[in-house]
Amino acid sequence: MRGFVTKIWPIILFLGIWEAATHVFGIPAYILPAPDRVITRIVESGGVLSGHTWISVIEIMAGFIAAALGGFLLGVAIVYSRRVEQAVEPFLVVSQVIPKVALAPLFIIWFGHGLQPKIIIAATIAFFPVLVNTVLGLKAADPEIIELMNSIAASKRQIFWRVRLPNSLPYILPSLKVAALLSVVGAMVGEFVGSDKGLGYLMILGDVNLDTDLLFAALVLVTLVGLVIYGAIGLVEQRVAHRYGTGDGRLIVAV
Amino acid sequence: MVPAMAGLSLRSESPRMNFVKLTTQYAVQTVPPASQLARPAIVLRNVGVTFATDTGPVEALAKLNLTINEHEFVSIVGPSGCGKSTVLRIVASLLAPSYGEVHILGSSAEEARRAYSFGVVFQNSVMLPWLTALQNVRLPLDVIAGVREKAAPISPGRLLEMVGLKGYEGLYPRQLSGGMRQRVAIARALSFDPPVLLMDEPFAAVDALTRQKLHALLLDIWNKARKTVLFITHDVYEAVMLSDRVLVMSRSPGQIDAEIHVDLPRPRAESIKTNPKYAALCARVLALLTRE
Repeated sequence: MRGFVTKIWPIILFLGIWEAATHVFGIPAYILPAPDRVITRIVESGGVLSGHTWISVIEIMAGFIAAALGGFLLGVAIVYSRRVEQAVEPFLVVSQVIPKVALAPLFIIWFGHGLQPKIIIAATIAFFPVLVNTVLGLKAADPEIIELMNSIAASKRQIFWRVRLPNSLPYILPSLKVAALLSVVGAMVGEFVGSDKGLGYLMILGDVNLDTDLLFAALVLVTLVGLVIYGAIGLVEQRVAHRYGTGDGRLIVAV
Repeated sequence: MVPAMAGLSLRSESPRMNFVKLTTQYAVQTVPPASQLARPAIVLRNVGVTFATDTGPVEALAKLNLTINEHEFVSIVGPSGCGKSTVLRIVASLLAPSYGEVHILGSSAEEARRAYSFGVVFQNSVMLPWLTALQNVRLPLDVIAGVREKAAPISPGRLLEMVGLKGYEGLYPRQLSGGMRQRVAIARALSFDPPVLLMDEPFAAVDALTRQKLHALLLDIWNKARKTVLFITHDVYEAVMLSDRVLVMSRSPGQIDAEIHVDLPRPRAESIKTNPKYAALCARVLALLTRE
């Protein structure tokens, strides 16, 4: 608890200054609402907000899981098949050059205004760091350990489960944290471009109606959602790091 | 340590016969045929390895012949880069020779590997960092169980006790010293009770005092289990102390130049170093190594 307080006090101080500044300088609420107004709004509109939050959480989680699974499986395929690697490589390079958020309007045309396009955008953005780190982690297995496994006639499958996969965990988990945050970005972008539900939609709604309280309320909620997912993966990562060590995996982030 | 070793004892313990055929062009000593044939455990016939490099092919080994009999402890010494580790990698079927034949207990190296005929101890202990000492010792058994059923001849726990690591079962490799990790590696190589032990400069990376203790351990194990051992080292004194025969290699291309029979009494211990014969043998090997 003490540790929590030492971590949280700058934020509390910041909120206090913010609160004071809005009153002292008489900043109008439609420019910058004071924190207490935002909190009041969240409490008052709790029912509506929770519905929209839930929609965004589904989009974020579905996009994240799709990105994590897809990135991991494609990473395994690339490491184990020269042909897959050759086939996929040029697309990976091109896909890194394309700003993937710019694809959002296209996905809306293709998949309509439901949850699907948001999930697809989130997954598209979040997938790449998982892929790269999976490949790095699987390839980083100590060649001497592979040789040891060969000396006891271990099969390729045994080497994967007993050596390559555990070895890649310290690479994959940090990439999952990044992927979670990118999923939030993807879902919000998708909702900005075209939707009638979700926290991103509420932000646009608050913007159009100059309802800045609502905009901030949605912002606070989406931040909390991101923090919870990030923290949950962080806990798993800590346990993994304790046993499997920390990988020197590079994190490649391209939105 | 002694009672725990009893279970390791394998096969007959008949006196070893030094019936050796060594047919390299520089063989300085030929062995008279013994009246009784010892069975060859490791045979390399006319083996060569050529590596492709940027600057053209490099002949690492050329026309190498080698026979190691069952229950025999044979060391290969040579300058670094002479290909002595390559010999071990070929025997362990981790590297295919460019030409020549390899037989281990009558099978090909590949078949012998699949039959778990040998355990390998590498220079670096090569531990899986996320497994405890005990789990590392058990690793081969787990892998073998995944392929076929085979009960452990000695429990991994007893093996660890045998190599002097009782009480360290639950520690991870990063918590162990270099010497302890090498003890774990030896226990791991013995875990499935292979008839042959292949050791690639296993004590090169530990300090002198630890090396002495590991020598004592290895001699102890050999005395009781009489495994066939192929031991690669650049340490002449170590080779003479441990071995029945020392093979001297030269480089470019790697060939066996000479062999020395070490007729020091067994069981041996650190005290063998005071034996004048030991000093003479070391001097002979050193002379052979440095004569080029």
